[in-house]
Amino acid sequence: MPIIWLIPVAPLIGALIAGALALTRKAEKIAPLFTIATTLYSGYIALFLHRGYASSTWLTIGSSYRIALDVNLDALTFTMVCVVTLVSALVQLYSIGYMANENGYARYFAYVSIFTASMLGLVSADNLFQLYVCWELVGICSYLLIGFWWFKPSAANAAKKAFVVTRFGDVGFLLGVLLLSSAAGSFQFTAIAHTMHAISMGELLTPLVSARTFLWLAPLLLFCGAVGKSAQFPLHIWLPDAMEGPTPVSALIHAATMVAAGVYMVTRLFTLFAFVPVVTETVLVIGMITAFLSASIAIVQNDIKKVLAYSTISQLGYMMLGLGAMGTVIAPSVSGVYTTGQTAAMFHLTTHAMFKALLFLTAGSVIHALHHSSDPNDMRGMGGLMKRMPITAWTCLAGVLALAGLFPFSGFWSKDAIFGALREASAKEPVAMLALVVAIIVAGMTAFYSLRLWLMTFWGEPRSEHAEHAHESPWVMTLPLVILGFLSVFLGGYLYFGNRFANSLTGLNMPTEPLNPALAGISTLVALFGLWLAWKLYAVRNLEKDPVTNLPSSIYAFLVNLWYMDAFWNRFGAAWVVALGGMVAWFDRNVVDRIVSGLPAWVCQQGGLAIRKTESGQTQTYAVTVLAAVAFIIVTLLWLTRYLPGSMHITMITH
Amino acid sequence: MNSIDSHLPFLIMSALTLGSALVVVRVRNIVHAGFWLLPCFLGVAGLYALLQAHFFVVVQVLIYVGAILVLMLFALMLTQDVMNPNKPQTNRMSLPIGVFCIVFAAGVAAILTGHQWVNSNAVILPANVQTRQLGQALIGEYALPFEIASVLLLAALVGAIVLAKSEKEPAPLPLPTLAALPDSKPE
Amino acid sequence: MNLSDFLVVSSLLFMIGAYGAFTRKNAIAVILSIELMLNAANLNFLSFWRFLHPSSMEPQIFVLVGITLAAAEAAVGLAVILNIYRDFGTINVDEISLLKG
Repeated sequence: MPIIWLIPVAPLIGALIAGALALTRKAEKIAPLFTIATTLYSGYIALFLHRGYASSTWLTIGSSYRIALDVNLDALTFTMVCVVTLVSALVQLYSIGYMANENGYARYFAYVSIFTASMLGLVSADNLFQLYVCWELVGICSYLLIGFWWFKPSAANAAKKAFVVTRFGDVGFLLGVLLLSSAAGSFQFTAIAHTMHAISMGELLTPLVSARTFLWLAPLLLFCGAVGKSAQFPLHIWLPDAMEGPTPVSALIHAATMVAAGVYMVTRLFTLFAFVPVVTETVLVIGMITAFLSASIAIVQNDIKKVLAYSTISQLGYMMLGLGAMGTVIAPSVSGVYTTGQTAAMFHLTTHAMFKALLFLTAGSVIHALHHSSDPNDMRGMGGLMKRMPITAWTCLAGVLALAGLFPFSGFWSKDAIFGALREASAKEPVAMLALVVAIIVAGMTAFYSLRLWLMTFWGEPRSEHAEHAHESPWVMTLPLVILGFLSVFLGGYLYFGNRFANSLTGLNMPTEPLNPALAGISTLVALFGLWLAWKLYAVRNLEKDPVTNLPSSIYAFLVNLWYMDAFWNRFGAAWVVALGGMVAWFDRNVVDRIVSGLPAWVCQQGGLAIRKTESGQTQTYAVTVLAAVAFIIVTLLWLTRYLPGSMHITMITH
Repeated sequence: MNSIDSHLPFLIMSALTLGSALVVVRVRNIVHAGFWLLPCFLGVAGLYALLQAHFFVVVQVLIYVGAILVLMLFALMLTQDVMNPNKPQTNRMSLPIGVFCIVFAAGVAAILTGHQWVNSNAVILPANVQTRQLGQALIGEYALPFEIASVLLLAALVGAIVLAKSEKEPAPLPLPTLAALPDSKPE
Repeated sequence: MNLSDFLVVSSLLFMIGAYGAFTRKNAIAVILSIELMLNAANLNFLSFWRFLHPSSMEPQIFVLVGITLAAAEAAVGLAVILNIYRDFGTINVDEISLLKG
């Protein structure tokens, strides 16, 4: 068996060991050793092999449908495997300190390791089937980890919400998978890309729908899955609630890796999206709305994790903007087209994974320090932590500036790449022009709320007893912060110069794309304006009242109520589902149950009651029954000997 | 040749056996039933005598009448006040079972009499020879069935003792109080 | 008097015993009836021995074992009835119906 299989399988083995350890009471503490080691081993294999391919047939349905399990380590997968294993290993290291006193310690590491394995399986898939299976597996892991503290009703509800809301998108994704694979007769990506091409040329008939419809319907159905998983408008509502899980989980799953699965999937299957402009325009518009909506909500949040959650949604919106923009095609081919937008989105995914994991882990460090407080997440109860938690504060600042996209931090380079792709697209599509403007405004908002977060947390004087007595976290928690802080500062620039990221992804050797001075200048100026505004408003000694509450009350209420999106879903989504569920439940209880369990039960009961009468408990009755049976046998035997002399004889001894 | 010519003794003994057996199963007073078993067993012993099974006549009288019946009577005496003899002693199935038994017995009798039995011509040995042969057979050829029967009897007796022995002390019967005994008051 | 006459007496005795065993309420009366049935069986054996196999020993051995069985049955049966009387306070088999479904 090729060693490449161990990329997704190794963390699974780690998960099994951790799961076995979870059954013990005493050996729990060694669980992270195995999960971290196996995760790092996966990453090491990927680095060592660099490229590779392995495939095995899992199932064959009929004569043509082959369901394969693949490990396809190409450039895109390589990037994702590096990101996933690095962030996962650091988060697990951090969790050793963060989760130290929790019940279910080994269970936690088992879940995280299963998640890592599923995510690696997802990114190494070379067919839609495996992609879909792993897609759902990471969803399950997300559910398990959001509800890790299942005894808290809010956590249990958040887990359910995340699961159900992403289900909306996944239904579309499944339909897309089925539609595409039934047209192609295969699940393999290459075959599907060729089929799509043939359909666009009019060489192939499509199932169910006409070729014209197929070309936009199938990719949009796939995109539904991405909307759910990557928390895009209008299905973004689950991600802020997902912050109920442990903070390292938020860093790993709900910021750095799993939510990027949607972006990854669109990137991987971008060939399918590129046939009809309406598809990429939809991606663009959704990304634009998402980026703006969540950035505006992030401004008024007081919960440190909620701010980061909305900023995550906003940054995912950026990535979608890059994908939707398309930009110019760098490496055209039928099976793997690469555009500047795609590389920009993947670039941003990589840098964002680093600085967003960092920000969440620093938030976790702060929450850990304040965990005796009644609401350790509330920034209004923080302040002045810079002196008390210097490592956390400085690494957090690095993450904040990277998120703000300030030169020369990581976020600057990747965000600029997306802006560049948008600018290229705006020459052809007017909507891309609008998107570019919105994206630049969002950059300013991002800079504002990210510095606001940092200042409210670390600046000034402590605003609560607990913040007064906060201490720096242990080294297992600060070490990942330092590593991620280093990456947040330098990774973007490193990958930008020499065009390293794009060349690695496309396999070409192109020179560095020079920065567009006007675009970079404008975005930097807007970011600086946002930072300046935040500094002006929040860099005060004693912050008594949050300045954002001075916004006009109608706007403030609109933002605090999350643009009324949850209310909208409750009114128009959940209400219908609940009503429908009530009807179905009524039908199930009163019709199906009556028929399925009622009828056999009635028959058994009546039969039992009838037979029961023979069980009188009177031994004499039983004896009479025996006598009657003996009499019956004797009579039968006599009858047989008399009328069927040839068949049976009762010989009477007579002599 | 080997048929038994004495009709009258047979009829008397049969009538005694069956008649007293009927009384046993029908009489209401259970003690009477026990006592009516005595003529029944004696009648069977008479039938054995007619069959020239001399040893078994003695065994029947000794074991059935002497041992089993006495045991039964003890049990009856101990429990006679449990069942009210004025109430019916048979259950509600008595009529259909009676009809069934009559029909069944009639059927069996019809078959038995309808069959032509061929008697053996062998000589019936006199009592002393017969009994000696039986004794020799029991310690010789048939020692194993004999021993098994005795072990069975031993097991049954031990089992009966274990079963009958109460595990805990039986609750003491309430002693009659002085007031309940009319004549115990000293005058 | 021939074999069939004895057999008829024995079968009648057996059916009388069966009638008693099936209809009497008193558990001891049931045992009495069973003794009747065992007697009928012994009579049957000896009749066959007398008329068909006078020179053979087996029927007599059977009867001897049968009498032993009857004695054992009476002893164990009475002990069981004694226990039933202790537990249920009655020896009316109609009222002892723990097996009732």
